[in-house]
Amino acid sequence: MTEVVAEPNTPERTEQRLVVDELRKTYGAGVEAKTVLDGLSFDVRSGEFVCVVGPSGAGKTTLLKCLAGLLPPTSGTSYLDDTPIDGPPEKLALVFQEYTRSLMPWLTVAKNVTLPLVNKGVSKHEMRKRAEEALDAVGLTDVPGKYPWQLSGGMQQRVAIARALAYQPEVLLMDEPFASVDAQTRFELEDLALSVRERFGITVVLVTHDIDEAVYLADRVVVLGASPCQVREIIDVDLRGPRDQVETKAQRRFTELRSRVFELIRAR
Amino acid sequence: MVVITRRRSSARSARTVGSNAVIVGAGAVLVCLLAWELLARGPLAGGPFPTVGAIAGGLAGLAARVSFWSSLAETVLTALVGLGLAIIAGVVLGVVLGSVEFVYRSCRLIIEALKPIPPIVVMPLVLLLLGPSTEMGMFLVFYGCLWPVLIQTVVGVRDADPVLIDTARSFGFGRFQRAVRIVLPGAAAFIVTGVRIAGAAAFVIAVVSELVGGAPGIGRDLFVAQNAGLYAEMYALVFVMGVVGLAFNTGLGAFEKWMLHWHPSVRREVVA
Ligand SMILES: Nc1ncnc2c1ncn2[C@@H]1O[C@H](COP(=O)(O)OP(=O)(O)OP(=O)(O)O)[C@@H](O)[C@H]1O
Ligand SMILES: [Mg+2]
Repeated sequence: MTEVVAEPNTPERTEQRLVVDELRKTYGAGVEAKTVLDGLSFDVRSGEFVCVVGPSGAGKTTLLKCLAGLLPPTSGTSYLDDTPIDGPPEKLALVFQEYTRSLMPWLTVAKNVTLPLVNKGVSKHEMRKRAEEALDAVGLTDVPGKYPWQLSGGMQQRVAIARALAYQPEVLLMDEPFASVDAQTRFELEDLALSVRERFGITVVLVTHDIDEAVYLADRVVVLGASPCQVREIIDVDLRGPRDQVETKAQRRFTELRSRVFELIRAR
Repeated sequence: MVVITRRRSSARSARTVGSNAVIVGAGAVLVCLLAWELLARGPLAGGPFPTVGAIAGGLAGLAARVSFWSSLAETVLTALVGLGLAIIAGVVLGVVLGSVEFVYRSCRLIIEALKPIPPIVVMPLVLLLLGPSTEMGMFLVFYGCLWPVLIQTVVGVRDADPVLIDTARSFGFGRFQRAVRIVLPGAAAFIVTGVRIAGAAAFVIAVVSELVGGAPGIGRDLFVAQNAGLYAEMYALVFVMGVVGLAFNTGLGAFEKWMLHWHPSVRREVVA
């Protein structure tokens, strides 16, 4: 893992990690055909935290599935470190929108977290260590022997994030990860996402329809229009100091950015 | 509040019902034995209805004979081997059929056609091929047990949660790894149901293959005892079959609980 670069615009930052080039996705064919992604282009730099916002049904999940190599685009290409993505890339992990359904109910929390490591040639000892580290990073240390269904929704989400971390990805994709938890947990998980980026120096792409969340978390916000969606605008989030739920959100710039994103989404 | 109270009380009453059920069940058994004894001594005396005491004597006589125990072992082995092979074949075929759409479409008609044919109907053919042997019995058990396991596996595999499959794909799991690590455990509830249905049939088919087909085992012993007019021994054998059948089902029930301890149908929510 490379060192975390906290300040924006340092030279290391400008290195492009993920490039999305004219991505187009049409579901179905003939009269049933429905174009969801209508030529999206943007890029994500190494170590950057990018939030993608767009209205419900815009095609955000579709976009992430294409980036994760789970869904072939109809046309256009995305690249991870200059390699076209045509299958699930090893360096990339995805936290699903339906996270409760993405945990295996027959495996304990610890086994769930280490599942992605089984064919990476990682030793048993190393697996245990990584599971401990990952669960520690998400603040879950006393549940490794429990089953996912014995945990609350917020805890299950932490397990899903821990699993992605144990995989030690260089790029982490998250699909509306905090949509179904209460406000307090949501703030905690948002700060968790930020600390994880700092601690592991990974590049994060997070999809959300919550504008506050996008502005609070992101270095840049990619605003998508309604379906069939295109990139409306890419906004640089120039907020002062480290992010803090109270201080950051009290900044005038925060309010301005929020209104800007809101207007973009609302515009027809 | 209401729900909790009700759950608590129903848990408690379930326990009392449990012990009550044993008492009531034992009582019913006693009543039946008594009725049998009265009939055997009274209106049906002299017919093919030995008294309870005579049957108990027959049972003791059986237990003292080595040939009885080897017959019993033969029957249980036939049932277990047939069932085991059916589970292996049914699960492997079921996973292939359930996950490859083309194979599923091609085989569906054949399965639908073969499924309703009871094992006893194919017995003459199997008898011709294998003779009245243990293998014949095993094959019939296998044949009878295959369909429930196979069909349940196919249904379970096709029911796999696409989110779990995508999750596994994003880990770089290939087809085989997904089948073993995701699809099979995900289909476990369906498969276990199939195994239960099959297991209940396995012992019955084994006995029938001996009784009708002449394969060695307690089924054939029953046929012999009946022909020789040894009624006490005959009923003793029937009693043994009942007990073994019950043991089979109890064992399968425990197997189900063990396999599905994580499944919503079995698991008990543990307070954290
Ligand atoms: N497999 C599919 N087949 C056909 N249409 C699909 C499929 N998946 C998604 N869609 C359609 O594509 C559109 C975008 O779906 P998508 O799930 O990407 O939206 P989203 O932005 O993630 O929405 P949300 O915020 O509600 O999660 C929707 O209209 C949906 O109906
Ligand atoms: Mg979505």
